[in-house]
Amino acid sequence: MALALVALLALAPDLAGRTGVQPALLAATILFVLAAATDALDGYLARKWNAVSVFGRITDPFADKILVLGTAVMLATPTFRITTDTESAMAAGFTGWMVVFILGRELLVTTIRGVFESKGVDFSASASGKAKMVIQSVAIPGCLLAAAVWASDRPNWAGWAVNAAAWGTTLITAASAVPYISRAAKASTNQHTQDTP
Amino acid sequence: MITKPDGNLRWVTTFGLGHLRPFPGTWGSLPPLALGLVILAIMPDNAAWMVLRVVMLPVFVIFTLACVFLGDKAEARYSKKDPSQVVADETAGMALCLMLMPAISNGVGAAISLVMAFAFFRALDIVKPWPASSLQATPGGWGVVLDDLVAGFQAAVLLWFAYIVANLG
Repeated sequence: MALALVALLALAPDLAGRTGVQPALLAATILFVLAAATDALDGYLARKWNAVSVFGRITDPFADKILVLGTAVMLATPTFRITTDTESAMAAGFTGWMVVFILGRELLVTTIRGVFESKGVDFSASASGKAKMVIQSVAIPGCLLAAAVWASDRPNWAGWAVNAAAWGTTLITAASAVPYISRAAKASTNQHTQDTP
Repeated sequence: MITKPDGNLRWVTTFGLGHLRPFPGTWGSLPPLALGLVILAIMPDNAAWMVLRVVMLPVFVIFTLACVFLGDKAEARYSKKDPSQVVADETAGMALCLMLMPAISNGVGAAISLVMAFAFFRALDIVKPWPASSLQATPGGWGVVLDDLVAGFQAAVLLWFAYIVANLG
């Protein structure tokens, strides 16, 4: 579903000069919501039914990353640039550097977790990681919906809202890495202390 | 289920909302949002934001003072530092955010902006970027409320920043 969503966004026509509802983007928004809902549900059911598998532990975060990062990357492409008499902006608020920030955070935290879990240190998701996931899962389809509904012809408040959502998601995503970095630094110090005779 | 908190502690649990599960902090942040949405719905456009800010001021002051003066008592009652039942800090932080955020004039847009303020406040309150993270160590009632006030301020700054960026176009 996540790959179909990215493909749909890649094939969507440029928004510049377009007005009104864009069916392809509306379909993409619905796909995002369905994919995020099933992603949350399958993890919950796997834990509830004690059916956690190696396959699931690999594919679940992979699908989650494709969904969030794939969509964010596509929203920052020139397809989503709108130019009107009054503004030149991104229809969904996301720009290239924001996606680099979000991608950088995900890569950093994934690496930290990989390194420390391989050493037997528990590095399960923190509350900040879960809050970040909730914000991403609401803000990204919200921005996509705004682009789908108005394209280039958005009201002023919608321009403000997509900007706020994109900036907020980026900053909260970046800030959510800090607790992981602190935990890594602490675990590293503890290990160093244990290793020192 | 809302259980009856004893005496003055009903102020720090925002009249029992702190006893709701799950996510007591989210329940505690809801009253200012609900109040804000009602004000935007019933007041004329030109007065709505001014009334909202005026109403949020006493909400912010009362629940902040409740945390400051009753924080120690609540920590003793629930035998924990910054107990989850104490949600007056979330109520005060959310009220501060609504008081400081930019005014969005359109009806639907204004309602959406309030919901976004709520989402950002909750996320920032959980993630606790600096200096909120270090303020939690402050002893007593100030330690309970300061991090939430910082989260409310940070959410308002974020919304103002987006407002300025959007207007620069």
